[in-house]
Amino acid sequence: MNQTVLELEKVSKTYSDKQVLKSLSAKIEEGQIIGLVGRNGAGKTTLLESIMGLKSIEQGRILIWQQQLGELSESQKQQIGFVPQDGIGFEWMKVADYLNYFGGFFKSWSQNYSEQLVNRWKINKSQRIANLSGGQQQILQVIQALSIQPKLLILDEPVAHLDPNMRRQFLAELVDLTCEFGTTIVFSTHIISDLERVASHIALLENGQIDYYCELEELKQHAAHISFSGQLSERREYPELINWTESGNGTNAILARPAKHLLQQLKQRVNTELTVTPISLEDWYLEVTNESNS
Amino acid sequence: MTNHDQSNSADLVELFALNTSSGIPIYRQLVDQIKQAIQMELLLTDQKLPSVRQLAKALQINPMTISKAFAQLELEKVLIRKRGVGMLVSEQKEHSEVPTKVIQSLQTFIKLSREAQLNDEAVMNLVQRALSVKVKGINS
Repeated sequence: MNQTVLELEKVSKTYSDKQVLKSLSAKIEEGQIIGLVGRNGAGKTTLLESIMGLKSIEQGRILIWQQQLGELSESQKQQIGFVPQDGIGFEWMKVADYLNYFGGFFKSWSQNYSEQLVNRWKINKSQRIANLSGGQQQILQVIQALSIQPKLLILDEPVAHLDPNMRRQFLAELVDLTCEFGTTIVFSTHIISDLERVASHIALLENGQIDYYCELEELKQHAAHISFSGQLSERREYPELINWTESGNGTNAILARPAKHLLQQLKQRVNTELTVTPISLEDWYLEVTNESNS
Repeated sequence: MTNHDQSNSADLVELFALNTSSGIPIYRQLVDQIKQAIQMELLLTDQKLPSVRQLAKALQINPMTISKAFAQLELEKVLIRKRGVGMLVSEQKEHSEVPTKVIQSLQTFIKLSREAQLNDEAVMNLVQRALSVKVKGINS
């Protein structure tokens, strides 16, 4: 029903001897807000920069609106917003001049929206960029990306320098954007709790692949710590369960993926009561990034 | 057209308080809170709910989550989707035989009890004690 906005087909990328993206595939649909998580060095920045065409890939294809980046029309390219992780540059410019300068490149730039955002974020337009705080510089980049009213918005750790209040406000801006323009958003972050309200999906990048790609509400409903008395030898039949441990006469595991009838089946199999304790998104993240499947 | 169409749906947003750290999915919380509001007659039959967009913006949560809650409530026939209008509260059969006056005085009673800092147990005790006493002037 929903249109595919971004499609990654077996994308691979190697830096000298390290393969960062290994035949990675993913499909992102219109209006989704994807929280991209993963440890440092997992390749989140490489992935986002590859999508933007800033990094070349060795294998595979990246399609935006069913076309490769080079095939997109100029007006389509103008509907893609990007906020890189590294600094803003242009430190000598004043805020107003900076926004005017960038506004000139984009047909879809809304001066009105841009000014609303600058006011909402209480950024002094006559201030030089060099004199803004780290958080304000980051927000200025976000304002610049939002002002083109993008249909696709990609942000690389946009909240890294923001305090909790600013983060909350930033997340609210993302909801507004999706509501107003149906914008599809991909953003990387280390702050898992920030995803809870805003993201529709979570994508975990691990070992060069999107290891987990789940609807957030589904995941929250299912992710749990499970324990039961006795043992289970056929663990391989339950790929949704990870981090098996045994203690005394009992067995523990983490249910790490949404799985509808798994608990019922497991209960019948082990023929005993299951203790199911829901875990938070943050705990889920810690469990899946310390996965030790035997 | 019903009278309720005029009500300001922005005010209705105040009905919802979502907790993101509770571990309960947000759409579940919304489903429960909408049902609760209907039960307490804070939302009335045929009343229009705020749109997905209004709710998403006001509560600062992903619009897909709101849509999911609405779809669930539609499935359970708590809400009706009316084309070009939005989501309306459907007729609640199980409460139709309780007069509005009774519900209203019950709400007032609970409100006063809360203000007096009575806990739920104390309130239940009060009700039970009152039921066991014959009220003067009323034949039973």
